[in-house]
Amino acid sequence: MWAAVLKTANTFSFSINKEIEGSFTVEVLICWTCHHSNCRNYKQKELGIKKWKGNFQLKKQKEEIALSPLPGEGSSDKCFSVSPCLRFKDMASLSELQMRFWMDKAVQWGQATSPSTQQDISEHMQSLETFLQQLVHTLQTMSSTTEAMKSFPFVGQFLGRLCWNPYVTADGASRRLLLQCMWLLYSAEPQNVVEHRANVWIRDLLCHLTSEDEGSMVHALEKHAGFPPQQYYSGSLKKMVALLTTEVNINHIASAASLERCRFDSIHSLSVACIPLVTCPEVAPLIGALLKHYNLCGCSHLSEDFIKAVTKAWLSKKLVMEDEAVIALWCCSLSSLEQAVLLLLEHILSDPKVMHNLETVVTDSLLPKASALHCHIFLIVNDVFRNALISIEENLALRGLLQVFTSCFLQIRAAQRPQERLPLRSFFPHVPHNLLTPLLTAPADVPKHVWLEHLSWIGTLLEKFLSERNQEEDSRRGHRAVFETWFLLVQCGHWIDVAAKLLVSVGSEQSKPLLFLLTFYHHPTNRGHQNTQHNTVARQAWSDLRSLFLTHTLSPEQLSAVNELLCSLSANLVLCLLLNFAIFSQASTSRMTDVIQKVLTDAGVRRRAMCMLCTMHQRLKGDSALDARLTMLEDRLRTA
Amino acid sequence: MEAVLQNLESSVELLAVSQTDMVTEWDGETVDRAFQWAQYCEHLHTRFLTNPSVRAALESRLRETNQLLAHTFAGHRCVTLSDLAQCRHRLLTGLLKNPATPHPVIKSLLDKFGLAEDAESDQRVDLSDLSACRSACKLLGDFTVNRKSDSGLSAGTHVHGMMLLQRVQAILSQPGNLDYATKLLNCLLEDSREGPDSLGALIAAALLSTDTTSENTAAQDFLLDWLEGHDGLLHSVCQSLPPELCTRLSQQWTKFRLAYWDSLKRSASFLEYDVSNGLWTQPCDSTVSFLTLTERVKFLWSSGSPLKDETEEWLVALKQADGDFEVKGLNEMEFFFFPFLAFLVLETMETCILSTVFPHIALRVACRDENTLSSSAVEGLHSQLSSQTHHSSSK
Repeated sequence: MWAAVLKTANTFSFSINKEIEGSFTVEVLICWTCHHSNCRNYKQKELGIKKWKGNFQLKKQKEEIALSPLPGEGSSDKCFSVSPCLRFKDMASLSELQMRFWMDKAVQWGQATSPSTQQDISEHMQSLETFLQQLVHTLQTMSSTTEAMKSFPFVGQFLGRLCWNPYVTADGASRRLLLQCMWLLYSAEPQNVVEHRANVWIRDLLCHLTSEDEGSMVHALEKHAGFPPQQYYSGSLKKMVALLTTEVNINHIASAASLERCRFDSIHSLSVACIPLVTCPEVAPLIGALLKHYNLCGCSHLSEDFIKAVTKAWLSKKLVMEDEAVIALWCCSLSSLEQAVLLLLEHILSDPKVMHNLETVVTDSLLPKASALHCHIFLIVNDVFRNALISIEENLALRGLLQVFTSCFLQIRAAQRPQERLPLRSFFPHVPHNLLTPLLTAPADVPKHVWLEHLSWIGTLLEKFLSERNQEEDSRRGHRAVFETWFLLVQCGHWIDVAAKLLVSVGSEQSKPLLFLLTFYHHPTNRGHQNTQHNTVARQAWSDLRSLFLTHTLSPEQLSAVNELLCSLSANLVLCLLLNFAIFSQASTSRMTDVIQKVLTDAGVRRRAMCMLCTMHQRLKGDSALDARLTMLEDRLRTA
Repeated sequence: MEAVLQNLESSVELLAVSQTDMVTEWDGETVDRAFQWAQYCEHLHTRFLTNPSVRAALESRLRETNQLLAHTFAGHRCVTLSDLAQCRHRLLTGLLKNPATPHPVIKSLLDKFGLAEDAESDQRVDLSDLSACRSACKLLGDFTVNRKSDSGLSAGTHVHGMMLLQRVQAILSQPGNLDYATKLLNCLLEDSREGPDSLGALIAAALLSTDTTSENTAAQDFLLDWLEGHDGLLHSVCQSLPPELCTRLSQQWTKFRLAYWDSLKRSASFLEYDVSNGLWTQPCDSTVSFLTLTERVKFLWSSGSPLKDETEEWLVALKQADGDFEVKGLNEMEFFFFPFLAFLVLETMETCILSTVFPHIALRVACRDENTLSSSAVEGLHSQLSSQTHHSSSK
């Protein structure tokens, strides 16, 4: 919620990321920490709380405050750094009630041996972390351990109990918070018996975190068989995970074969036990096995918190699982699938550089693979894309993503065994069947000399379909059908690329269906009843560009006409034609750069041109002649 | 070699010093160096554990150093060869438990636990990973591996058994290490305060380990021999492990099967027959009840060939050895098959008390639970019954 930045030695500013309302007191906590290793005054010292009242209205976000210099040592002392810490007043003070609630919980949890206890802890994990964070802040404000013990007499017992609870200590974040609390309670120079005892107790707790209890079998084994603890535990954990993974796997095979209730009845408890372990790399195979088991066996349940934790860890790349496990995760949790799609969308829309290796990014997202294996995943993924496209229909990156996603999906599907494939109609339930085959066929699978015919065929089918829909009485149903067909055309954008390329070389008569396809692709709606105008613009742009690239003289009128069109509603269409002429026409490179330089003057248009070129470059990789032309064009745009 | 021994001596001295007041002089850097030396000792242990001659040299130097240190520092804890494997850990706990350890040293230890979120690889060392792995083992170790054949042992016990087997196997892979391996097991038995049963479970898990190469099988044989050498332990293991597990072990290991039979026979010999109530009773709680005993034999019986046939032969042989009497006159007791009963009875009772009806009961139980008895056994019972009826009517 807070972000604070040290501006100079004596002032810092801070901003609030969350919208808040009303007035409240802010406490500014300043910690001076010594980082210098040779410094004798090795300490983290708190120099008191500066109370500062701020009247924050909605969205009021920035303030600057002055700090008083460090008493005695001087604020210029380089071996100290300042870490300002800000917080709401009421957030800081831990109520007795809270403390008692968590103390009761810690007692009730014990050493987390039963599945129901583990379930309860997993439900409270997030709020426990928040509480521990508050505790850390509160302990920072205490001048001594004695004071802390007076304010919270149970704090020691509370922390101790949590340290004995493997479910809590298995989680990295909670473990770190516990250590922080312990360190804050540790007195550098104990002043009285309480502080002495606290120190001894903290050291004992630290021992406990790494050692077995003396007298236990494992302790004896470690000691006499001569295993270093690190080696012993990581080896044991790996073996344990392998054993349980086999167990989970064997059981789903057995239960699938016999249709009996699966014999490993601890699946749910096991998934609960794995929640704090999702980021532990050794446990990943077991997590994968549990997810796959759920999909194959159906008689067991995985804990919802487990699914959430796995999703979060996977999305943040803290958990690496095999592809099958990830797909299994999406099969059992719709929300994790949606999150994965949104992450991909966000990645592509926020970073223009992604366009350079869009195909790799899309393949790595595993979404095409999952879609080819599970029709419902394909439908859900496309629903998310559909919604995105409705709100940002002009976005080139999004269209590029849809096209690449669909072609990756088709490639993976083609590699599947025929008996495993579902019919394509189930993947595209909303579009007319006669359009499916011509559009979903990859251009590479159609001989080059019939491309024009193929596209004319698509154009005719599409025109017929559109005119039928326009005559339909139920206009909403008609609109929906048109949208779905256009959506398919966007998914199969490779044919639009072919059409644009062919337009560079065809004659006036042949250009008709191609221009129609291009216009529909860029302007699917008859918004403002401008269809006729769009058609005229497209034809106009095409003929202007033809003469710019194919005739000997460069006419200034045509240049300015194209320039104007590039700022019109049809900008993307014109830009697409322009770049295709630039790359595929026989015009000399000097003519090409000349035209490009004169036409692409607006920075926004240039940016879009770069994005389009980028996708074209990806598509045309390997063609050395075109490659050189493309590179030159890109350089020109970059330097312009 | 002398250099290595010298280093070992210095490291052990360092470890001893870390537990004294002298540690007040230490700082973060000293601690880091000490940990490096401790790691060196761990390396020595791994490198020479299976080499009898080097091991003897290391042990003898350890003995000398310990003696010297015991003179110098009161309350010095001796460092054994296997302690060397845990040197860093011993250093850590020693420093934490030493009240003289100065504040900066404690801070540097805490940093090794990963106190600071951004402390990267170097600082966090393995203590953070160690406590994470340890907690994870605790959470997963409690799950019982539920396959019918293995039931009763937790994943933890399985894995600890595998670790033990792995170590024994490593030691036995070099000649001249038999005594050392035996010593290891003896120490385990002495030191575990959880009682001999948990060691028994550990060995059972090791014997069941399916990851068996020929070397592992040799190590498993060794464990079984050791177990045989500890008669009391073996008997207690046979009593404490669940019947499914003992059956599985009997199937896999002939030696264990003989021991298990012997143990059953021994348990049976403690039972006494209460004539007035017609019940078998235990003279004291420490012995096995009649029900438990039948349960165990039932499991052996239901395991299928060849163990079932062998058990049957064994019981028949026992019966014959005891005079081949037919047992009669036990009211309303749910016995599953009579040769076993015969041996139980003959072990403990005067045959003259017995009279008429046992085969009826056996047959009734057999009909209720057909899985318990094979069809030939049921037929056998029928014929016995008819001959008996004939016998009593002719009387």
